[in-house]
Amino acid sequence: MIKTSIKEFVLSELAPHFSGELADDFSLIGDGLIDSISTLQLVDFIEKKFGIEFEPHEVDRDNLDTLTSIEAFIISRQ
Amino acid sequence: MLSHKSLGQWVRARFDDLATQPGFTTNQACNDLSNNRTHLELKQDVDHIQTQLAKIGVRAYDRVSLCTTKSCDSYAALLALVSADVCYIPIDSLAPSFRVGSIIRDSRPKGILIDLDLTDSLPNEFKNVPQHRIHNTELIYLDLGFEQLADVNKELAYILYTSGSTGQPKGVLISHANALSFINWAALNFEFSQADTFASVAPYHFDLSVFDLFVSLYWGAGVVLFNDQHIRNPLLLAQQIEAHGISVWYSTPTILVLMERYGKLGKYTHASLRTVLYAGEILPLTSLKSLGSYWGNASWYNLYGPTETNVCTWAKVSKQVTDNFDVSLIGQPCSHSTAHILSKGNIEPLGVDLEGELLISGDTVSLGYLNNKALTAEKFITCEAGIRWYCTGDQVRVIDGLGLKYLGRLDRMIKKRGYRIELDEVQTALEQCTTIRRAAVIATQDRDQEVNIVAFYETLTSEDLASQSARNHIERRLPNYMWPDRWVCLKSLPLTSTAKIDYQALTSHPALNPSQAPNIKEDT
Repeated sequence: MIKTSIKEFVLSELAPHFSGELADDFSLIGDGLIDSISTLQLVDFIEKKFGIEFEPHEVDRDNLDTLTSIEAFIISRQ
Repeated sequence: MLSHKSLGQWVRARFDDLATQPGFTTNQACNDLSNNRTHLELKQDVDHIQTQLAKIGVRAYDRVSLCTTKSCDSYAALLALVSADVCYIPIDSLAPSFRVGSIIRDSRPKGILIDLDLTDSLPNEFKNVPQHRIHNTELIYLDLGFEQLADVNKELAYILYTSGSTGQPKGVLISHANALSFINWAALNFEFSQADTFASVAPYHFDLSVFDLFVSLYWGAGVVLFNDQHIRNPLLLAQQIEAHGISVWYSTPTILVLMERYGKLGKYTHASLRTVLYAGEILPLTSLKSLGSYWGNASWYNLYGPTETNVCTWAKVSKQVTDNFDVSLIGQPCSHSTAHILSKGNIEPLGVDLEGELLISGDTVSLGYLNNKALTAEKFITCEAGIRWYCTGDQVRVIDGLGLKYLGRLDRMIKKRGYRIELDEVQTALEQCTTIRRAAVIATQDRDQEVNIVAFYETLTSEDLASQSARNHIERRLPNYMWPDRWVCLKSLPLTSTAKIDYQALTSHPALNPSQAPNIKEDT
């Protein structure tokens, strides 16, 4: 559910020209699908959608690079 | 005036002077969010690195590249190069190896000081060279083996590479006199003191960093060093302003716009901010107003100047910004600069309503471009009166009582249906519009070679509303031949490594695919 929602947002808003398969362990930042500003938009989306708040040091690749890591972070904060 | 022979002589004298003052052993000189140094510790690091470089064989007037992320270590290394009267050449640590290679081949430095973990990003031809670890740091010196010139230019303090319009980076030669003149002006033009804490947001390869690194040293104040990761995290920047009590901020408008948008400024107390400076682009009115409401204690200044002159004009921005505030005012010449205007082939002093290319003379005007006499001769001209002028390529107009107004880049001038159009004028008009967060206007040619004006924008409201209000705004202000042919709403505009709008990326933006219909609405 969380992954589906993130995936939809990434594909429709952040990387609409991406035509490949967005697997759960696809490296969004590492493979350059989303840049630093898209990352901020993603954080903004997650905060609003899931009612959680990122601390400044949590806006990093460890938490945001894959659908799996994003889901794990959201669950840990809910 | 700073009468020192070199930037290095000034740095050495500065540390000697600080050493006699109370607080030398206790006051923080720099902090990179992981480590910090007092002035004494920083001086010891500088001496330590300088000694090691001397043992390796680096001598005064050599050229050495610096390819590092920003940290207390790399700041000390930069100061060690300066202090040894070595000309430093900062290279973007995130640049692709192709660009790093072309800068190294063009500048032929004796060696390169580089972060240990960045050596893999060097072009292969520079990997198998003698290497020297700099002890107690994460830096390594690679001996590139370029022959140093016999008739070396002893005047050079540093060389900054900027993007050339041809795609080949050009090295702007900055002399000791240039650097000292700028530092002297910047240190005294605003009300700084030893109690200030400076933010250093710009990377070393960007001339804004000269302000943070050396003006903080001038005052014996502290500087908080933000690296490339930090500056991409507006939440962290906002948090750190409060944590360190940052009082002086200097960045591009892009960083400010991102802070306003994503920094959750309302969460933090930023009462420490006293001086906010921005340069490099226009700060859109919406961001200026919003930031002003959070940072009410600060005095705001818009600084203007290409790398070839550093800051050469400045404008104080009113604390009470209204919707009529003109965001393109760049104010008056700095005390080290004289501004004239090239109008209809004549170089004329500033007169009300005069419009043309801005020319700058004075102590900060660069010696020219490295290995490019033709371009140097084209951009740096000497008039009949014997004055040497840098031709900025920027179009300005003199406004009565308000100083200079920036109209746009001359090379962003296009011709459409016979009309001469300044793309930046369209862009500035959009940035005055209160529903537009940021705008970037470019020209493209369609399949029939017809010129189209394309307005990319980020909005504060819904896309439909923004596009409608922006159109109304433009149509009330500009003649119809200047109206954009296409409007593309983006979630964010692409940026360059120096955090400015990346026009090159926009020209190849997928939304401009000719198979797509005009007036496309695009969400990326």
